[in-house]
Amino acid sequence: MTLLGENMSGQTPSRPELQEWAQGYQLRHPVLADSGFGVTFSYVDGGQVGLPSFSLLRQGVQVVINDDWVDEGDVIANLP
Amino acid sequence: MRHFTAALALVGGLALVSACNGQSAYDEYEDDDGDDDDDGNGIFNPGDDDDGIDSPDSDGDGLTDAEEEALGTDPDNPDTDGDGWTDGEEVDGNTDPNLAADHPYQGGWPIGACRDQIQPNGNNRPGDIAQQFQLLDAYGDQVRLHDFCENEVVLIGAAFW
Repeated sequence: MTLLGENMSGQTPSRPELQEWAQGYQLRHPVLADSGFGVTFSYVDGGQVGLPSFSLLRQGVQVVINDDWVDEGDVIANLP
Repeated sequence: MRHFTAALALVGGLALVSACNGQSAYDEYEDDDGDDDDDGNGIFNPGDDDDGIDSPDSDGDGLTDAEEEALGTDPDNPDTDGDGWTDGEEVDGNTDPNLAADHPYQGGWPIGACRDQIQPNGNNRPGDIAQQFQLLDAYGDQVRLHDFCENEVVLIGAAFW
């Protein structure tokens, strides 16, 4: 899932902007409007978030990695 | 009377044989492959088209009238909650056919049957069960994290810059 926290004006991305992002990068996964980075910040330790921010959840939505790099090996190791 | 007694003895003998084999008399009807189909066991299962219960599908939504009665949906209305998805599509998609706000995603994202069993704990740190969230997607649907309980999920925080 991609969580878009802001648009170019610092506002919550609109639905057309979500569509533009998904089409521009040919994404087939959910692209979501994360107003004020609310959900993204909930996975961050401390007050600073670097973008892009990656978190990995295994089956059952159990957090494996929060706000850190996620590589292919991490994804493969946690496949259902 | 003699025939009746003999019949009882015969039934008792079959039950005894079944017990000695360590099997239920209904074992042969169980759904061995777990696909909720073709088990012919006479036990109602939503979406099981061959559960041994003959019932019409009056509204053609993929659910028999008997299944709709059990679910509380209208057997004469293919879309009971009027959300644009048929009752059959909702059952197949693990959503509630009686609740318009709950329906399959237009984006086709899978919805896990386990979504209502998730018990979040902690603050989204390693080992925690993640908190629920609900956010707008590009199709205009409100996407809920726990609907993805059967999948591995990568969250990518970004900005439209």
